[in-house]
Parts: sequence; structure tokens; C-alpha cells
Amino acid sequence: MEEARKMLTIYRALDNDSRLKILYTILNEPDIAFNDIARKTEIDKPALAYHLGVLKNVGLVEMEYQKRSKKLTKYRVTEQGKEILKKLNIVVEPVKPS
Amino acid sequence: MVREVCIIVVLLGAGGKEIRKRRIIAKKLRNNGIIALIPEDDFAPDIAPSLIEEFIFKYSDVDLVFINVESWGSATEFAQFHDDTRIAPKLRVLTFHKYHPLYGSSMSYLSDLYLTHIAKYGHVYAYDDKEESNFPTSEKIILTISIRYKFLRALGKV
Repeated sequence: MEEARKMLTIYRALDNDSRLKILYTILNEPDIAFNDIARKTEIDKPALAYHLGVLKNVGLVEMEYQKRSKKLTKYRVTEQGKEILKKLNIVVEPVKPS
Repeated sequence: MVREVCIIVVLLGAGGKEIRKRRIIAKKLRNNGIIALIPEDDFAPDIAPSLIEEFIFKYSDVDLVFINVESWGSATEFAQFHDDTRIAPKLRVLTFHKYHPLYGSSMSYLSDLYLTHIAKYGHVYAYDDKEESNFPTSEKIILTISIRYKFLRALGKV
């Protein structure tokens, strides 16, 4: 039951175009910085911070502080995230640069 | 049989040691298939929280925002959001029972603001985390309301 509920949170996280766009961007460019995700996806920074929070919360992406600053973060898709995306068959073609 | 759905809630409150309490609640919510966000843990620190919260609560797919008013910071957040018509319906406010306008004896400005919020929107709940009275704990309030809201969402009633 717990596993099913966890999958439910993942489906909810993925049921959003902006979050899918963000996820593909991170998948294509591991360790990408927050500002670069914002630039590539053209999503407003406050909205981006929220969507990344949802993706991180359900375990699809992880965040790491860059050296010397806690205000510069980089993101990558977790191993668990890659497995789930493969299982759901939604690892698709790379996002074209805008 | 009711199908399962997932809702997204945000837990606001005091930082420091008090954040541990929110983390425990968030874990229990997650075990119930609810995405529970704690801004300090989940939102990118690249942007200041005061700049992103209002935007997030207004325009995102967040279902409920719980504010445990237990610090100056969370009191400010409540004051900022309590009369915003796009945010207030999502707000569930928790206050120590002594500051609740109907159960406590506080005459503070904040207690008065709670009364205004109750009159307009409802959803101000008294709690007692020390369990020295009959009031429920903040954890019980958040879990009970979130799980019921999830069922209502599954039934298409919210």
C-alpha cells in the first residue's frame, strides 16, 4: 500500500507540463544550475523553485549546493528517478535548446 | 470504492528546532500519499522565500497551506496572506490555544486578526502540542484535515 501511495505522489508530480519540461532539461544536463534551468525552460524563477521542490520531494531529482555558496544550487535526476521514468516509458528525446 | 488521488500541501512554521516537528508531520503525510512541502527543505534557496511564497500559493497547484503561527516569521506570513482572496481559501491556520480568539484570553492584535479571518474564511484551529489540555496537537489537526481533503478530492467534491 505504501509503495502504491508513493507511486501516486510521483504520478501527481509528473502530471504537470512545467515539471515534465524541467525534468527533461535536468535529465539531459545533469548537475545543471538553477539559473540555467530557468533560462532553458523559460519558467519564472518562483514557479521553478516550487516545481523543483515537488520533484525533489517525491525523490525524482536531488539538489546540491555549489561550493562556497548556499545560494547556488545544481540539480540532477536521482537513480530512483531514472528507473521510474524508464518504467513509465517517459524517457524521451532530448529537449531542443530554445 | 473510492479511487486514490494525491494532494499537495505546504507546511509553514517556525525554523530552528521547530522544523523537526514539521518534518515528522511531512513524513506521515507522505506515507498517506500526500506531497508535503517544507519551504526550507524543498524550495531552491536561490530565491528568497518572501519573494516566492506568494507567487507559489497564488498560481501553483498547491491544494492546502498550513501555517503554524509559532514565530514572528510565521505570524508575518499569516498577516501577509490572510486576506488575499486567491490564497486565503487554501489557508489552514494553527495557533496555540491561548491565542485563539474563541478559546483563549489573548487580546493581542494577532488574536484579533484570527477573529477577522474566522469570520471571513474560517479555518483557524487551536492546538496544544504539550498535550496539557483537551485541544488536539498540531500534527493531529494537519493529518486529519489533509486526509479528509484528499478523500474529498477523490470524490470530486473540492
